[in-house]
Amino acid sequence: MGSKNTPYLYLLLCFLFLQGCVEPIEFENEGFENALVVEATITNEEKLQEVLLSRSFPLDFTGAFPEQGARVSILDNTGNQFFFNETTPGRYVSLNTFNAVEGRLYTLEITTSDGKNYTSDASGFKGTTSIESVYGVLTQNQEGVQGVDIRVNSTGSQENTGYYRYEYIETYKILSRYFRYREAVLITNNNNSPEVVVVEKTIQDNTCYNSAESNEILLSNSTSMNQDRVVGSFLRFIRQDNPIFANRYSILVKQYGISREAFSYYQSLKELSESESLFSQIQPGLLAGNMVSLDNPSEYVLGFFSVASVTERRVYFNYVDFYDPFEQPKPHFTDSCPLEYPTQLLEIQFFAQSEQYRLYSYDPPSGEFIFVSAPCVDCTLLGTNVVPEFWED
Amino acid sequence: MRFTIFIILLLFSFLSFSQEALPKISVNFQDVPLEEVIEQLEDKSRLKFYFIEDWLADYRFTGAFENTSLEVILEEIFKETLLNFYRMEGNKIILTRNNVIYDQFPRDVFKNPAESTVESSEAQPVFIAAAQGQSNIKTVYIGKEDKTNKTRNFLLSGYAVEAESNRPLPSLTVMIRDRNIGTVTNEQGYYELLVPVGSHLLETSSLDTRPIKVRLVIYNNGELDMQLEENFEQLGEILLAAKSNQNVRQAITGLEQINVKEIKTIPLVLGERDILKVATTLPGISTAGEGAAGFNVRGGRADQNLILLDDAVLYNPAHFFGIFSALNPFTSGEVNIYKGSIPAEYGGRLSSVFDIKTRKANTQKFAGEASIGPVTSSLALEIPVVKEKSALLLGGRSTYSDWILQNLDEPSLKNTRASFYDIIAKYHHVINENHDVEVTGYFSKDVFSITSDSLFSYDNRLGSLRYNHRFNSKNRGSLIVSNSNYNFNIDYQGGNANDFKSGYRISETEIKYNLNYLYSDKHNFNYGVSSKLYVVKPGRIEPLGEESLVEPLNISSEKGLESSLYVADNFKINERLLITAGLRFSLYNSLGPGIQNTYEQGIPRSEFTIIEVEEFGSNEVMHTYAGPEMRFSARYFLAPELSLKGSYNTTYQYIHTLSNNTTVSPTDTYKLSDNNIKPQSASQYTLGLYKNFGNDMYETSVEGYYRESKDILDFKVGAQLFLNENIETEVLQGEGEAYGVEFLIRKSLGNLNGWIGYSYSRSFLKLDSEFREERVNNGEFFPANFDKPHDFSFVGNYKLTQRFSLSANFVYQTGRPVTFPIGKYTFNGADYVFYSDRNKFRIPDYYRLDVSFNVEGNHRIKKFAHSFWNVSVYNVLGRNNPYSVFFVTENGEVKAYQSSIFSIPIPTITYNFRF
Repeated sequence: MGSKNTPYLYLLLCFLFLQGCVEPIEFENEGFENALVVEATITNEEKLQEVLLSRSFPLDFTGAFPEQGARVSILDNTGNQFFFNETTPGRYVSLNTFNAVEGRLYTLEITTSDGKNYTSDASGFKGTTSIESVYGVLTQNQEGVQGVDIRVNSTGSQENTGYYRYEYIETYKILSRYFRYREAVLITNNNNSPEVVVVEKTIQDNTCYNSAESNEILLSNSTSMNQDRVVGSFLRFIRQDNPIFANRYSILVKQYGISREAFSYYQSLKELSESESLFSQIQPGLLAGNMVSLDNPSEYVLGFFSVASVTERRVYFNYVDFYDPFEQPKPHFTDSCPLEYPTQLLEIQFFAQSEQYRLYSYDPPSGEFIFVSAPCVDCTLLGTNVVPEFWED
Repeated sequence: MRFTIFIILLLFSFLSFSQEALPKISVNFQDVPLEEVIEQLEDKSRLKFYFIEDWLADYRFTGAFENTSLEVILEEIFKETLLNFYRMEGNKIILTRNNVIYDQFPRDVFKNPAESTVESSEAQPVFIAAAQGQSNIKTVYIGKEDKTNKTRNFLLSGYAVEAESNRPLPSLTVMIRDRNIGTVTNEQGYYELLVPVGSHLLETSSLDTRPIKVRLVIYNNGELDMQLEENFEQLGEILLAAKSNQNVRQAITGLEQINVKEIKTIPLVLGERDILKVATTLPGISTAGEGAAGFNVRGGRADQNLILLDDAVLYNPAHFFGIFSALNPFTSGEVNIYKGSIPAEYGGRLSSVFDIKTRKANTQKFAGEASIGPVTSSLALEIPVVKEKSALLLGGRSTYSDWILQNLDEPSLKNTRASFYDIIAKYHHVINENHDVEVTGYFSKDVFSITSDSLFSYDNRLGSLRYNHRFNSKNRGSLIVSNSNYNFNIDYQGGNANDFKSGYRISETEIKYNLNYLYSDKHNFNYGVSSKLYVVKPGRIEPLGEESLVEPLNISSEKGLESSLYVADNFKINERLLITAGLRFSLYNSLGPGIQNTYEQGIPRSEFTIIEVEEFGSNEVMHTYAGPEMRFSARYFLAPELSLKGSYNTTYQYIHTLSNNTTVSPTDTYKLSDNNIKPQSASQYTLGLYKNFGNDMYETSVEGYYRESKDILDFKVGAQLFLNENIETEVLQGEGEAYGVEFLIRKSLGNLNGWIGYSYSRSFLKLDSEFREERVNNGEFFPANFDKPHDFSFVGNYKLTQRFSLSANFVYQTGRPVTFPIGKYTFNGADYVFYSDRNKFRIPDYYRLDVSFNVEGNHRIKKFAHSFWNVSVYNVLGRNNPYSVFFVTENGEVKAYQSSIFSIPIPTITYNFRF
């Protein structure tokens, strides 16, 4: 809680003492360590389970560094072993579907391509959880910007530990700002010269859909509550001017009932990565997860192997449920849609074949072409025009 | 002239013969001046009196004698005076002041001087050599020589006051140079000195008064009050430890003394004259960073300092995250910082003792002092209650930052609050010369709110009562009762089901009886007993508002009793060697009610490895720790003004801060030792050389130390400390090692004065365990957060004229160790950094220059107020000293930031006045 207030503390001090306090700096990376990173959550859902393996990379690098060619298996304490197969680089999927069983302890075993062996602490889960509701609340964020908070209420069964982690996938409908019915196509005519013709458009580009996954660590716990029930856990804040919420918005919330160890790992990871308070810096350090190298116990191994119960719920929201579109017009993905009126043939040909532009209107009597910036009329540039299977209107 | 008389008298005394009895007479006096009495006696007898008229001036006599022997009459008359009489051959009566005229030549006169120090069974006569020529040194006589008094040493005591205002003069050195005896007046200006019989040259010295020299002739216990003149020429100079050559003389190592009056020209930040900030310019005392609360003394953690304000523990001596200290500059008297040998009287913390004394108010007349600065203002009033006996000191300080924040045209700051204040009151009452009482009360509070939904606050509250009693000339005692409280609260009101109020509280009450026994001029004992009860409420949380679903949680309180018995002897073996040997026996009981968890051996502690839970009733002893603490130090004079000192010290600590921050934060909590958390312990060895030059004008010292500590507390990465019922599952206990060498050169007098300090010091920590999660840096030693090898400070003051002076500070320190990220990784769809071994890197070096210009108001006596202006510029060089470097994951990307606190020069003007 303290940490998210930090920018204000800086500001406060800066103003109070008329000082500039925090500035971004260039940082030179020293002493880089190449470590194995393990990310795996095995759940009680019967499915192909996944283990992600990657390597750490220097601070000034970006991108993914998958760990390829490893042998991965999960062992339970009743003697079952589940083998995994690398499907895409760094992504290891179980050969068969299976689900974690309550009360059993699972161990992840990895042998990397260079022959090093790693293992996890034995982990399991207790109890199950359920999502009572997922709902939106019209509110303001700390900067005073209006928007919708998406929150979740969770409860656990009696054996549950009371620690929750959330992930979500949001899917939203995109409506093109302007609709078109025809398109301009450049063809080669019989005289072997280019010609612009106007035809009925062949794709549906008025209504599209897009999805995004959460990448934040979202946690809650009921340990300070008088029942295993958490009310109003914050998932996401969507500003009023965010176009993903302009039409119909759907969120699939996945709720994991996790162990205390996993909770404290995620909590520490979150705290270490968030902005800190000027006067109370949290002691950073190597955050040890539950993976260890069998060959060299002092080798850094990053990440966590978690066994959890999972439950999920999808909900839908409409812009008009929260806002009056007459007072607060819907935001659009495209801010400006200037129209182009080419008259020269070469210009018309240029616009007709440009990926940045689409035909907006054509007037056969006058032969006037009007072109517009592509995303203004073609939503397939922002998403897919395939309606998701689950979608409900 | 008087001295010639002595000689004559002495000569006469050798020529005495046996006498016939004096006649008997009848006489009656009714409040008659003594001179007249003697005239009448001369008339009525054949006697002739010889004396100096001045001697009789102040005496009057009342009494009636009927046919009484003249001898008896004279005894009676002179009984209440300083005069002795001697009858010479014939009918001559010689009056002497103080002296007794001996009619037998004392045998000891011809003895070897070395032997004459042997306690004599006979009273020793005192012979005073006549001074050669004219001397302008005043002679004072203490007591009347008494043939029957066998004592060799007499207790001289008295008060020193400033002549004009009658203000007590604390910290005035009173010494007898030829005998190497000296003492320092306490806050009431009171001193006591055990002086060998005879004649001595008594001198005083202090920074702000003109020295006085008197010839002291002592025959008995007595009092000598002194009135000193203020020395305006030296006002405004920076001077620490003005106690003459005490640094060379005393046995104690690693003692720093700062007197608030003496630091007023040091450049200030935001106009605050801050005694604890000045302390950090001395070698061996540092903070983790600019604006970091807490002190690190000789490589010790910030929770290892016992900070006492008038005998009561001050838990959080900082306001506003450490930018201001919580002490009112006008009411603070002096602070003694024991960083080497800690006197046996103190205990309970490993590294140091900050003994802060509040001034005593003027008992003569009403006085006050105030200052107006850009962020805070303070006021102190001295109110006499019973003239010359008791007075009340009131001090208050407050900030107007809340007001500034409210008036800023910045929406994001509209809901912020930041304010603090502190108040102090001290009353002292001198019942009589043998009894006095001091009572202090103090309260400080900080409130800050950074967003509209949360409010943080903390406060210190303490009170102490000290009753000083002098049993006789050799035995003194003080009974001290003190109570301290520290609280912090966090309230959260976001308007939903998570609203809560939470808080933490620690309270301690101590009773201590401290005694001093001045056994002889060789042995001086300090002994006593103390007992302290701690009550900790480690955390509570309760719902705020009706909608809140927060379950009230009250972590059961902890109780502990820390008791000790101590004795120390200040033993002067010979003129060269002085030792202070102290032993403190410390006992700690963790008390019920409470539950005590026992964890399974051989696996890491966690809430799942509890194998036994034992419940204890109220005040039942749950666990006991005990051990002796050694406090030994010695001084040896290699040459006059050059001494070698060494000390060996051991300490225990039963209370620990729980903080997973790299620096002190107001929300740090304290935890008492129990069966799972062992007490911390340390031992320190110190060796130093001290040399003064130019009549104590220059003081120099070199001191080296080595310190080992055990069971130092640290925490697992990302530990949850507040509201954790099983805190021991997050705690790591490891070893500490620190060593260093400190240099100090100080010039106390003259137009240019100040000091230069440098220390090279290291501090390491080792957290090892057989379990991976309990190991830090592979179980090897790593530098502590406050390990700053090079630390250089210069503080200088140059007096341009009587009224104007210039001061400057310069500080250079190695950057503190930090833990930097050494790589990134992708997890859960975002990039995260991963950190190096702890404290593998350092932030850039720190340096800063401050200057100030001071204007002293003129010294016209009838002026209403005595004013003082200070114009300071902090960080003149505008150095952007990094306070910390940190990394933030924003939108899946890692960014590096540097924070600094005062990165540009900050000018301040402060106006102080005294009335």
